[in-house]
Amino acid sequence: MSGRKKTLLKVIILGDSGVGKTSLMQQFVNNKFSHQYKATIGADFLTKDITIDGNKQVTLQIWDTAGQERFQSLGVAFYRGADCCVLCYDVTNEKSLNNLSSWKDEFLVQSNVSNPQDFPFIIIGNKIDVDENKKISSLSKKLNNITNNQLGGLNYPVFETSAKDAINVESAFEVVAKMALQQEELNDANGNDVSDDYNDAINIHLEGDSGNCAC
Amino acid sequence: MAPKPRKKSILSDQVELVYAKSKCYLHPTSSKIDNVAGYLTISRGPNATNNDLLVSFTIESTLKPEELKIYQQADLDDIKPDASKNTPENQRVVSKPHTSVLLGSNFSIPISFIYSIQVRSPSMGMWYGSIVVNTQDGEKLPIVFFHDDESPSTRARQKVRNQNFETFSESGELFWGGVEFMQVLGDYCHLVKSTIEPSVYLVNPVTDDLRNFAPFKEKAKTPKPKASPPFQLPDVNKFIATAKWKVLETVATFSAKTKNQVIDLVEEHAPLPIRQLVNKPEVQKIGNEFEGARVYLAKWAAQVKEEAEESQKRFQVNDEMYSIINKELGGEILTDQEISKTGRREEISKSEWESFFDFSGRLRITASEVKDRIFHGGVSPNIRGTVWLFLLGVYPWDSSSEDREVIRRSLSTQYDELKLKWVNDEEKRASEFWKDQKHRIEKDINRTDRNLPLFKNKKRNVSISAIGSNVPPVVRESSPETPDEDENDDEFDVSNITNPHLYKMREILLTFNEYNENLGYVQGMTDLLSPLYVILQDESLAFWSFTKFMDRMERNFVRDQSGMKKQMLTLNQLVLFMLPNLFKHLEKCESTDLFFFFRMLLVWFKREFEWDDVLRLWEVLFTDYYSSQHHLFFALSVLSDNERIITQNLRRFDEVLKYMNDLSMRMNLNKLLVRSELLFLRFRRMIDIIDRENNSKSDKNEISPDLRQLLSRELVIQKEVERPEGVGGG
Repeated sequence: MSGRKKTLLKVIILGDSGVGKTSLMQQFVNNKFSHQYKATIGADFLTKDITIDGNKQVTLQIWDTAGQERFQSLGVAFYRGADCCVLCYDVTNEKSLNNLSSWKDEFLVQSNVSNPQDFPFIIIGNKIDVDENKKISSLSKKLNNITNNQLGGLNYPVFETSAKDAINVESAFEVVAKMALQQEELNDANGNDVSDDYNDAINIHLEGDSGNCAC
Repeated sequence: MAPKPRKKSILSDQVELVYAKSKCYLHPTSSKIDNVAGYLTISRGPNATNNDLLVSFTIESTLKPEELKIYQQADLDDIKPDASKNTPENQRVVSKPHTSVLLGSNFSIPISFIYSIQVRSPSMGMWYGSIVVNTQDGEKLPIVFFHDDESPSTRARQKVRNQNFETFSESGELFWGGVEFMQVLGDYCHLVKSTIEPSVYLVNPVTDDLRNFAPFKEKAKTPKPKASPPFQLPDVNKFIATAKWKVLETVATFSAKTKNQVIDLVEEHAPLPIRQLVNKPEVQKIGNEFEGARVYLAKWAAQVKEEAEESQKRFQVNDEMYSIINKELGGEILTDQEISKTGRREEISKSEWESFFDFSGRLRITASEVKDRIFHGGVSPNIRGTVWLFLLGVYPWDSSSEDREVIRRSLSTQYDELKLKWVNDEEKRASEFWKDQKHRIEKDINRTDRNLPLFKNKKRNVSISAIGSNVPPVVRESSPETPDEDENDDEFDVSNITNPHLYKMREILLTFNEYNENLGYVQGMTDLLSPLYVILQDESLAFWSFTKFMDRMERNFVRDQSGMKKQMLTLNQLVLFMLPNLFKHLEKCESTDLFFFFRMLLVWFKREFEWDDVLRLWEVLFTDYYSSQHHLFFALSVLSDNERIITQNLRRFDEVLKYMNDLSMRMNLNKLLVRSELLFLRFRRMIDIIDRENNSKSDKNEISPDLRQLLSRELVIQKEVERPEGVGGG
């Protein structure tokens, strides 16, 4: 990788309205939290340069989108070429948890990624700063149920964060960056090798890798 | 017809009636009984020039019987254009009209003392036409109403015209007494229509008046003794300043074009002196031989442009800027007359707004005149609530104050009834759909314009129902989940709306779901409601205003997003049509989907401007003055304003999106409003030209129906289809 131009990694944040997508992005990129965020309309992104594994310089381009379902059908151009997708829910809102698989499916349909089977997703449960009694009851059980039955039983990395109190946000996005970089390298490989058969082989190879990444 | 000089000598206290109109009335009070009938006359005293002719209002009952006869005769004589010539002159001599201090109603004023006359057309069966004379001293004389149905001469004249199928005057206006009066007056003085107030005619305007286009004279600080108005020298400094600007603006446009063509541009567009300079052999040599000279010239031009923009920042948008913008757009396609009509004016003040209405609170000028005024100036914040109720159609333009009070009360009752549909229906509130809607609404309400003082959270111990509530207490108390009983003190918990105004907005949106059962809450609606609520601060009126606003905005929110797609497609066609070079560049950037306009269009630029600017923009758009879709021209103006930067610097989809998103809160509203108006006029002109050319050619240029629809003032309405069973509100 060294000697090459700095890699741009494209990350999409999805999830129900109000789970804290904008707040997560702002906390990670600008280290700030505001009470005055508005409901996001359309899409926007922020970028941040980070170093992975102490030597790889990458630029994360993090896309924040509107949570209202009907807006997803428009302007999906920004899904194209994504390297990682962050699925968010609100730990106080069970419905947002239940909708994770819809967001995943929607993303795969719209983004047209080459490897839907093992495209890197990461799950973030936000707002852990709230009172315990407000949280979804037996959350881990429900979450397990969803990953096993709806998300295809894959071991997607899971983080619980507080964008408000800056808990776990940094470490979640470090993992996002690593996963995105792997995907980017895969895409590069795909770009260089036109053989479909060969692509399949790479997919199989990477399935093991994504397992290693689960934290 | 030029008046012939009169040779016959008349006494110094006498005048000869040049023109008389019967059954003109003053309406000193709101009661018809107090109306005062009189004659509006133009008369000539002994040895008087046209400038000395008197315009007078004389109350009928103050005339002596023998004089009344002469007035009556003069009124009737004027029916036929040549009649006066046949009437012996001495038969039209009456005593000089005088201003009666006692009655306070008669007036008489020389033409030279009249600054302007406002002519207000009648509305069929609604109210009488009238004129208001504004004096050079800044006084308004009493309004004279033309009771055409009572005036023998006007009736006879109308009859003649009807027989000749000339119901309308030459300008296409309905024929009425005021038009006739102005026609006659125009024979004796120079009348110029004000470009600011089309209903106002300046009388013998001096150059300064024309330049200012001021429809009314500023009230003089010290009333002058009766004397002819002082002769004014033309303002030489102002003239020079203007000329300098003309040079600067021409040069400034260079920087908008490619640098290498500066010399060519000078040849095309520069005023003669500069062209001569550039064409001098030695200058040309530099231009042709040294690239450096061109770059230098371009840099200089860029500096000038910067300077011009800096100055424009300080003085708001001035006439010169309109020309700059227009030239950048290719001004030659518009006529000077069209350009002079654009531009920003002062906002409508409370007193000006009130002057639009008569004693019964009915508009006495036409709605389109009011809209013209609002489109170009906007309204002052202290009348915004009232004006918006008209603009949105909650109050009809032809209503009286009394009508509006009745409407207001009725709407309030209807609102309460709608609201009770969910308040009193426990089963409904227990449904999944309703709970989901409530959650969505509350979540967004809590994220709407929280920087406004009105929406800052109040202390917990402030009782909701006690704060400025216009809602009957019975509804308030029965409203479920009254928030002030909530024990939770996390102010950002979505289920916990502690601010009374946000709470009312929640009620409005929940009730809107009863009014429109198919749509459901969609993100962006709180952005549309919030300004309405803030300026009205009345739950029922805000609700009904919102329903009217949503009539036009519903297409932005329908489930399949077809309304937004349609608008973005239309905008795409518009960019291709109007800004083809930019379009080509956007193609290279894979940005022709214009996704970056999504937010701007969805909530009408609410997220792109500061609060006050949003209100100003919306009231302009509400007028539908040129087009019910002027917001698309406004969007186009944003692109046009940034055309050069985009084409020179941005290469990719994400770069374009980022740049456009980041324009938020950095745009100059007035500049864009002017630009959007010019773009519309240019668009209309382009369509005209194409249509004209199509008539004479077999090889026709098709105009897409979407583009053609942009010429319409009719609202584009698209309703959500019925919500299928089991479909949520997403």
